[in-house]
Amino acid sequence: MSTVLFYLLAAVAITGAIVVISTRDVMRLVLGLGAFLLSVAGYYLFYGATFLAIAEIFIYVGGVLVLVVVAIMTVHRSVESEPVLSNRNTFGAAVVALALFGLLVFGLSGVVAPGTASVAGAGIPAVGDMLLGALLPHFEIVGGLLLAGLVAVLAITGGER
Amino acid sequence: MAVDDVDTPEIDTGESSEPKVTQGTVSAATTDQAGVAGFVGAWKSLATGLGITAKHAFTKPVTIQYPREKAPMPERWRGAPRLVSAMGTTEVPLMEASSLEYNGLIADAYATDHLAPCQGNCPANVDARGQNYHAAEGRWVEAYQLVRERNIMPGTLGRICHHPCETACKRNFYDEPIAIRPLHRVAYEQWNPVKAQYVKPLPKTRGKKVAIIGSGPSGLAAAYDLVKLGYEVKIFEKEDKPGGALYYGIPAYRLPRDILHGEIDDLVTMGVEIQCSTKIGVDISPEQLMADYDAIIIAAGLQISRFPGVKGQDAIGVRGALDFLKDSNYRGEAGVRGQNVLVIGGGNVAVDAARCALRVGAKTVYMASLESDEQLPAHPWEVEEALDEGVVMMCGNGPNEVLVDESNHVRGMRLQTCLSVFDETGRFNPTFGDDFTELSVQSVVMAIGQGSDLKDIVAGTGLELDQRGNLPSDRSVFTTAVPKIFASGECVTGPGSAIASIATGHEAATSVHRFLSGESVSDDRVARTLLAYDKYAPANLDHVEPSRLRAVMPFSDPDERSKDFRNVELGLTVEEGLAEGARCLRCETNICVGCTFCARTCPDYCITVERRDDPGDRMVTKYDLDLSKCCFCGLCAEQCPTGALQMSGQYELSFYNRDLTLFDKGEMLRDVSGTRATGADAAADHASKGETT
Amino acid sequence: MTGYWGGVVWGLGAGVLVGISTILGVWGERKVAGHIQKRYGPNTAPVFGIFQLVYDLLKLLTKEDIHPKQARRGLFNIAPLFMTTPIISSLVIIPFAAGWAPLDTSIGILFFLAVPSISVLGVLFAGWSQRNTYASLGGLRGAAQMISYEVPRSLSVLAVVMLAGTMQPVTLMGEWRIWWLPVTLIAFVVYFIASIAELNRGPFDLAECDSELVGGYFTDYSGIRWAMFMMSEYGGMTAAALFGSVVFLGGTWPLSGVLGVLVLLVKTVLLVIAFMWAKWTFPRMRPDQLMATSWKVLTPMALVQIVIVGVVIAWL
Repeated sequence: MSTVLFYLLAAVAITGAIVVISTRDVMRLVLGLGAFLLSVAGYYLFYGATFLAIAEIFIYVGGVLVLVVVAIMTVHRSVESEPVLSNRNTFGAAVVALALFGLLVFGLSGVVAPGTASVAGAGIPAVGDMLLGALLPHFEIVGGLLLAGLVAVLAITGGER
Repeated sequence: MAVDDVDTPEIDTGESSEPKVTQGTVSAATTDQAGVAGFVGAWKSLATGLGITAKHAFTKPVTIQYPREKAPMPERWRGAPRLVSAMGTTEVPLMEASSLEYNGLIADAYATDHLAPCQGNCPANVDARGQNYHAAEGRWVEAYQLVRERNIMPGTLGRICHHPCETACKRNFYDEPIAIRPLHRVAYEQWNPVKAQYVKPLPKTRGKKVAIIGSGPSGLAAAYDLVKLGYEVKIFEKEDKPGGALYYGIPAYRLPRDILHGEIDDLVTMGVEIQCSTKIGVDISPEQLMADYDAIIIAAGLQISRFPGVKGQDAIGVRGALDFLKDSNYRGEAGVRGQNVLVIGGGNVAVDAARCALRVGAKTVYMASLESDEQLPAHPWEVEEALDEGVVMMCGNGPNEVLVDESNHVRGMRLQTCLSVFDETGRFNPTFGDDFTELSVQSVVMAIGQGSDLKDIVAGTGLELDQRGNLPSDRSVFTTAVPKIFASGECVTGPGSAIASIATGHEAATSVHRFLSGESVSDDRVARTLLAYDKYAPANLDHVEPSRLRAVMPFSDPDERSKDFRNVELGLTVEEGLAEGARCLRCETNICVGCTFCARTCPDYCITVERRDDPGDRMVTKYDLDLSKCCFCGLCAEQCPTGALQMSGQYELSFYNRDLTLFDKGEMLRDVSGTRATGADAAADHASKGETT
Repeated sequence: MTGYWGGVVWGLGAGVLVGISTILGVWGERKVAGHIQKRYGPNTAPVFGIFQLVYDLLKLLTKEDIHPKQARRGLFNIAPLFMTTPIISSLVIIPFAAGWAPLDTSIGILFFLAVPSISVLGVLFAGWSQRNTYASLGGLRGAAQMISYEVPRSLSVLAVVMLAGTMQPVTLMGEWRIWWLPVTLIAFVVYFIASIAELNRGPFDLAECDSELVGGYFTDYSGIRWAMFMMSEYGGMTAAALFGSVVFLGGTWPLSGVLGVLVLLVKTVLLVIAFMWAKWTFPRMRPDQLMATSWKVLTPMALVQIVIVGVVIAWL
């Protein structure tokens, strides 16, 4: 049963990913992304990392994805023709994507190797301790960065009003 | 209804200047009302709003609950059966003539046995049969106009009439009478939206002026006839709105004011001039009228309530019924809120007063009448409605003494049992028993009778009143001692019905016309055919198929309606009206309507009736009399409602004196099964009645 | 292995629960609305008009499932699922009896706050896929509102989590003490209001306001798909009321066992009635008022509540 579930999740995730990179239809892209993100959350659950799964849903599905859809809906009017992705910088995009992929593989290969996934043990107390203990400065810096970003957006878009 | 004004609490504006209606939280936070005050104010208004709705949720709803859901017409409904007779006549003869010739028409019809009982029993001889004929084929405008020629305000009378037509209806004998009065109302409701194209000013061709004193039913009827004849008519009304007893006497729950005044407006459009708030003898002198007008009709009606002459009847809290009705109808308030009210009297005015007392807030309403409950002069259906609403009837009790407190306010009433109302000679002479009842009431309404008050009107005209204050006048041509003055309505006939007053109005108008055109008022004039029809015993409805039953008038819920002046009767639908019109037997037209009652009556099963009953086309296709079985009893002809079957006098029992035959008509009608009558009874009827009863 | 099957059974059960709550909710709503407006509400059908629901349900089920010509079929078809599924799955962490929840997890409260937020996607997809202006506007409004109100809602729940020291609903309900109620009253009020907005119900029903947007994000839906939107609304209301009574009102307190379940049910029903009460009392808000309420009123209130709870904890 668990094997079946594992491969089911994998199938959904890979399909979602393929849809995301192959389609030109923005809404289909969003659906693919949603499927992918949900199956990732499923993986977290599969490995017992409930908190991570919930956080994934909360932030990515409930936040990021919604933001994307809202952005699409405000830019395009749904009654008009289908919004279609068009990109003139195919080559540059490929380079950036490959570089990012390499960076991720290179950076994470030491941390998460096959068979060593052990996020389950951590739990919320551990995460909490980590974030508000040793990693507090980093946490605060990231928070400050986000705030600065928000203020910057306000200044750029609606500052004059 | 208007409760909202009462229970909307003030929203505290002590610390905030926000508009009172604002209920949203944020308004305070987003608008200028910032800070703690705004915050607190906003929450306070939220709580207020919740409080109001919670209070609403726990008060009893005030909506009308319809007692019966109307079944809609099925898709196949293509109109009521249209009568195509096998006897060669298809049209029901309509009684149409001006008032001048109408009496002759009725007398002829009666003499030739062509007068339908509904028409004969109506004081104004309204052609109800013709109305039903139009109604069955959906010609509502024609139906309305036909009825209006005689009863001048079908919409109004369709709500308040005491319908003697239905009492005489032949269908009483078979099952239930036709709903003639409700059909007036249906016709009015169909006519009202389109009436603008029919109601037109009539030309004034005669150059003569007639003044009418009083805008009640009688005055309006006379005015309508005279306007049609081309006279210039002006009505003087002492109240601020026209309608007379219809307006201030009949409560709004029976007759909504917009209907009455809508129909009076039609008369005004046709040329009747009405001057309100004008009291003869006060605002205009009678001499002035005599000088200005060529003829005068006094139709002032009855204005004063009679009092029984018991001790304490001048105490504060004792009132005449007419004043009481006027107060409750005009203002919806008669000063009896929360009190116990006793109405003395057993007539329709007493019932109206009692039901009005409930509606203006009385706590308990008693009705005491001399007559026992079987003999009550009030119409039984009104008594029944009053009982439904919670009026306490105390029949067989006469007034003895009004009990007063030190400040001369009513505190109760002592009643005495009444043994008999009339003496051997039939005169009013009640005898009382020895049992006394004391009721604790704060208001007493006297509804034992009404009298006329004509002193101001006749002063200076040469007319004299008799010692009881009545105006001596002729009761068939409605003349008075002074040639140019006529009198009609209840001030001549005494208390009666609206339709009877209208009938006198027609007669008075005829007299005025004869007078003004120089003819003799009474010579070679056909008098009204006043017929008395026996009351039918209630028919046995056990085996009557539902399609034959009368359309049921829906009523509003008694507990609810007794609190305000909402309509009591809710009216029939157009579909029910069509079906009801089709139920009419077209009495005395000599046209077979295929009712199949002859086949059901025949004791020897020798009559075969075959009827086609398609929508839009109902006709008798076969009528067969098996002479080998027939015993010549004549029962079929005896009961035939239309007179299509007649006895020829050629058979052996024809010499037999039929008046002495004893047979029970109710017994002789059988269930349709087993007889040789075919054809469903008006398929449409089934549909409109839903078959669910 | 049994876990999976348990999940399936529970999913079906929760679905049935949502269905029942929808049917009863629609009837209750019409009754409450009727009485508030001094009417009777449904009353001609048998048994106080309850059978009205049966009629309505049959009508909905047999109604034609209309697809607008211009709609995006795929998205149009699955959008209602995005609305109902999260609501149904969020019911999994509710402790229906003292000491028992279908899924007894240490972060149940976070789960409840996070999973229904997926239904924002449903609103957006529905609004987008119908390809008409009303629906798009409704979808956008709904999304903006639901995202904004997640903030005060989560913060208000945080107050009780601080008091209990756990995010596990079962433990929290066991820990609950009656004096928490006055202490967390502000949080409860904030939770109540924010929940109404999360559910897109009046007076926050800007996303579907039928007088302006003709139904908003479900303008073009009919039949069973429309019923699924109704299910998400009434199921969501039931879920919010269940969660509210567990977190703020002590769930099965003061009883346990079967009687405790009854207590929880009564609290839930009362809360649901309060939701309806609010809907039929207040007029619909303007979009700017809506946002201001969330950011300028409810969020500060929730923060004040957190401070209060912090002080109380320190004082203990």
